Amino acid sequence: MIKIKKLLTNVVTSRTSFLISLLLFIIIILSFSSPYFLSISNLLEITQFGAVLAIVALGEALIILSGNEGIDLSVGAILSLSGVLFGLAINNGFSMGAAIIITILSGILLGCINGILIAYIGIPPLIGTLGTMYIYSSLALYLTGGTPISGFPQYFRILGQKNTFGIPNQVLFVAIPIFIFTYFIIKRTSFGRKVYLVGTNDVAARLATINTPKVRMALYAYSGFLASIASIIMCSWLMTARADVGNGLELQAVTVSVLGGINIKGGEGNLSGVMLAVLIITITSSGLQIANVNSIWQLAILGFILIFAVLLNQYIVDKKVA
Amino acid sequence: MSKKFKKLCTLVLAVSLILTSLAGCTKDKAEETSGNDAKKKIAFIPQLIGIPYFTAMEEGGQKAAADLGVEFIYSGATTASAPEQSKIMDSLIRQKVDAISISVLDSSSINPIIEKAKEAGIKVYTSDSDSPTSEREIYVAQAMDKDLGYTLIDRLALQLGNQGKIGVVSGESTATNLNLWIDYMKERISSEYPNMEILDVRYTQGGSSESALKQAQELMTKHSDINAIIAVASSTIPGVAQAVQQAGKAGQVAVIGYGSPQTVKPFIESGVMEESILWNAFDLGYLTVWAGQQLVEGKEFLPENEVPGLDYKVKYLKDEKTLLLGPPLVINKDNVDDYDF
Repeated sequence: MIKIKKLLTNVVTSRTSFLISLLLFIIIILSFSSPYFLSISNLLEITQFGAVLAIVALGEALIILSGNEGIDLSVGAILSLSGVLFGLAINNGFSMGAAIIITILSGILLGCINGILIAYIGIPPLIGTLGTMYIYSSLALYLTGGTPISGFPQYFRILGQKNTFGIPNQVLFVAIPIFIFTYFIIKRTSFGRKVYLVGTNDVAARLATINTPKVRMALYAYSGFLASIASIIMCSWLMTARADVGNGLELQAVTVSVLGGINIKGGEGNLSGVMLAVLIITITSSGLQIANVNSIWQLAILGFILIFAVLLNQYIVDKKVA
Repeated sequence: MSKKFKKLCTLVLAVSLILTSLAGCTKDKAEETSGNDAKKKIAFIPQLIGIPYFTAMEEGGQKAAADLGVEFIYSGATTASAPEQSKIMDSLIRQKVDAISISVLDSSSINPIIEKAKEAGIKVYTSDSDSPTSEREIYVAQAMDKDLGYTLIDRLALQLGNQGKIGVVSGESTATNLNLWIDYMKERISSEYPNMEILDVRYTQGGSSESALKQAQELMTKHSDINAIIAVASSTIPGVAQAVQQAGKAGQVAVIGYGSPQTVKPFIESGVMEESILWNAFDLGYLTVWAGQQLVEGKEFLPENEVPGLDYKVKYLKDEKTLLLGPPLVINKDNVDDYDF
């Protein structure tokens, strides 16, 4: 009895092993619910739906990690707007390379605007990014006039619709390299340590001569950068730029960050947990779809999983205090 | 120790909650599929689920499936989202269904996945809302878009005595079919009714009622001499009708739109609306599943088709690859009680 309890406690306290168990558990349940679900190629291909969320969630997680109620609600709008700019650039005769550069620069710029509002002017992140979310979405709608933009060259679909070694290209060549890069920055550089310190204790960080506004500014810019990368994937997947593709993405990004173990108060959490959470959410929603579960239920199940994860987080926190 | 135990209990409880919720909603599905392995699977993806219109199509589809001996899968998202439609179609391809029909939200973004389904040997066709540029086999049309746009303006012109200022409240600005209907309305006005004029087209987020109410109020404030408001998306009708009612302008500002009988019934009864233009959604669902079966069995469509279960003949327009349900249905106080969607 005690042994089992110990084992359970262990699984539960290590976020990573908990998430892996949850993922396996979900895969097992889904395999029983539909004969078409469980196959290696299926599981690998399903990850294509997680690539955009994974990339955007990395930025979101870092911002939450940096504390001071940090949150970026504008990621979905940045994704929509930079995607629209990408579509417009292609349609106005820019080369693919030039269009990608324009898109990424605009993503960084939009992120910088968030950064200035929050880190330098001092607007609370929730309000600041809510405001820019509305502004960026309106701008995207204004630029398209509500009409989707198509007309991308055929070869462009390689990024979002084709596989290499059975793995979707956007996962293999974009999401995974970006994750490794971001993970390295956070774990192995002094900037990464600063992010955690700023997130844990803003005052202490400042006393340690860390330029906290600069750190936050960099994170918001990075989040914008990631959203613009994700927008290019989205354009290739749909072969269309739409002003509304990013709707709701910000909440999904917050959801996976929290589920992945990022403390909503900052300073605590691990990016690999966030990636596991993306896998959990993506595989769950795709698997439920394959099992023809009504989408109304799908939302409820995601809600259950999230609340469960937060309950667990509380449990871990209490345990650490005790 | 006891505190820890309590926490553990909470945890176990949470796990079992998820488990039961998962098991509960998948079990009956598994049973459904296991018995019907030999039946052809025909799927329909609506623009969103949980609204009477698409539920009526679902019911029509279910009836057809029972009559024709096929399995009908109705699978949609809770919000009208183009990327969600692509994801759902992807999951249907993985389930190896025989035919997929879809009410297209965005004709350009759905094309790649239609192509993918076709490569997988699945018959793909559109229903209710089309993507003419895609590789779909056919389009099951409720009525020609042109007829819908023209009919609405003609009926409105009758009410207004061929003259008046009109405001339009639509759904999302990105909805292909709504935009097309508005274009045809404008076309009809400019060619037939020189004394009628569309002042303004307003869009609503997700076609919500509250947002439609607000837009209609703004239209009446900005243009005090407005004579009519067209509520293009079915979901915007209640908001628009309420706005007119609240302003005490019932009878003074005409309200018309593409609303289902159940949606417009209270407003026809209270006199805010005289007529609504639509088609029989139940029959459309029925026809959709019938068409899927014909496609799966490799049967050709005739210029005029007898559809068992429908008491009228259905035209097939070969050049447009369109199966046409019929002319638009004009709903008024005489027939509003005949339909349950």
